[in-house]
Amino acid sequence: MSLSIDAQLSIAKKTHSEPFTLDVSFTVGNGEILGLLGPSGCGKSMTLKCIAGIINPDKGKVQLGGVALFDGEKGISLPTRQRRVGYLFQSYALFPHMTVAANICCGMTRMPRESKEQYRHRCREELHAYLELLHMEQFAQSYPRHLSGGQQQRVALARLLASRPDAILLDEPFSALDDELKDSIDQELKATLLKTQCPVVFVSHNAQEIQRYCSRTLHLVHGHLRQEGKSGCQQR
Amino acid sequence: MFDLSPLSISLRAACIATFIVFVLGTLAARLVLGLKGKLASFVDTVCTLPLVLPPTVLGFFLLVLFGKHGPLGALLSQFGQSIIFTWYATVLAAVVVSFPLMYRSARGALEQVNSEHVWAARTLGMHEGSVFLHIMLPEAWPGIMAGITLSFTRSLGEFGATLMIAGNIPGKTQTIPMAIYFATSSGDMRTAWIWVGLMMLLSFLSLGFSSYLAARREQ
Repeated sequence: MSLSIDAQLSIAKKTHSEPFTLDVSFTVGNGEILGLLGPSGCGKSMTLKCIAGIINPDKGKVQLGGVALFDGEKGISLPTRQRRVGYLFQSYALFPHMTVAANICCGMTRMPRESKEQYRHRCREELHAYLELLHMEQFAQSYPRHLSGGQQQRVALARLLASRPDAILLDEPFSALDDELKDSIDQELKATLLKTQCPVVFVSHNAQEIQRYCSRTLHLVHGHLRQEGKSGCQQR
Repeated sequence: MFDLSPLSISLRAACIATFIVFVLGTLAARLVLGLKGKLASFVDTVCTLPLVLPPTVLGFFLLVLFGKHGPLGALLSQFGQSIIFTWYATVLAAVVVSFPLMYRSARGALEQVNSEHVWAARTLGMHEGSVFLHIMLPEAWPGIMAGITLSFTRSLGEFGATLMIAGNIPGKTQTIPMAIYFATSSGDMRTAWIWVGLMMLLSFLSLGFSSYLAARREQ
């Protein structure tokens, strides 16, 4: 199945005296990591929220793999739960009262439920696979508040992957980490993301971060896309 | 022999009422959070109203509703049941007066739940009911626990509405506040003192227990 996000959104939101308009349109291919670059308040997170169904645009379309998640004209707006869009929040949004293992298991909502026994068995297997993949085995029974920023990020990523998303949205995934940590996580995260073969949207205000991850970058200024170009060698 | 029945009647009414109010109040709070605009303020006002109305007004309405000729009373009497002047009425009165306390505590607590956690749960594919039970409730629990304590102590102390719909039948509907009132008015100060002391002790214990739980959570 080929996956693509086609988003044409326009939102008028009264933040200050004059309305803020968001007008974005882009497509992300299968296994592509698209960078969305811009200063804070330019509408990057809002774009992601429109895709995930946390905010509804006034008009436009959001499509994933040929299925309309949102269509202003036809009045379609799938609830967030059914969109199969994984969202990594800036704060990671781990559930504070649950252990790492319980957090990851919360993502396993889309697993086939043939029988209770089999379901439990598969959950356990999958949990171990994710813990191993992200080197978090010894933290399975820890609570999020006892983890470092980098560890929290990995748990959030595992939880996201466990939900078997068809698209992945990353909202400033590194803003809560210090520089040293960023570099060590870099290659691993990128490899994990590419392995999912999902379209990925990577939002950041940091051009360097985007360059390391993304094959293509869009600049967002005041809610409007400015230019499109290859990041890295072509632009430099 | 000193008649201890008001203690068991009071405790039974307060416990059952608190449980009912916990369910109803929390659900009402969740419902109001999902509403918008004028409808939200209207439902919110209706849910809070029993807090500011005199208990006698509430008792009056309950009497009108559940009395022999009231709509709900008539319905119940078809099944050979009557609520007025039975111990069910002590529960009913306690539910109505303590509901706003639970509702307001739960609403405040649910409003404080981190909305990113709720949205994260939804993007993971969790159902709305599951989000409420597993994400919102645990995170709002300290506030909800405070609401439970307030409702319990309020139920325990309920007097006005109870007097109107349950009456003062010793051994049947006579709660502790009722026993205090009638002991005092008949000049039986010894009995009144005993019940006043017990009432103070019960209220002190339940509030203390709740703040102990809150302090233990902090650690």
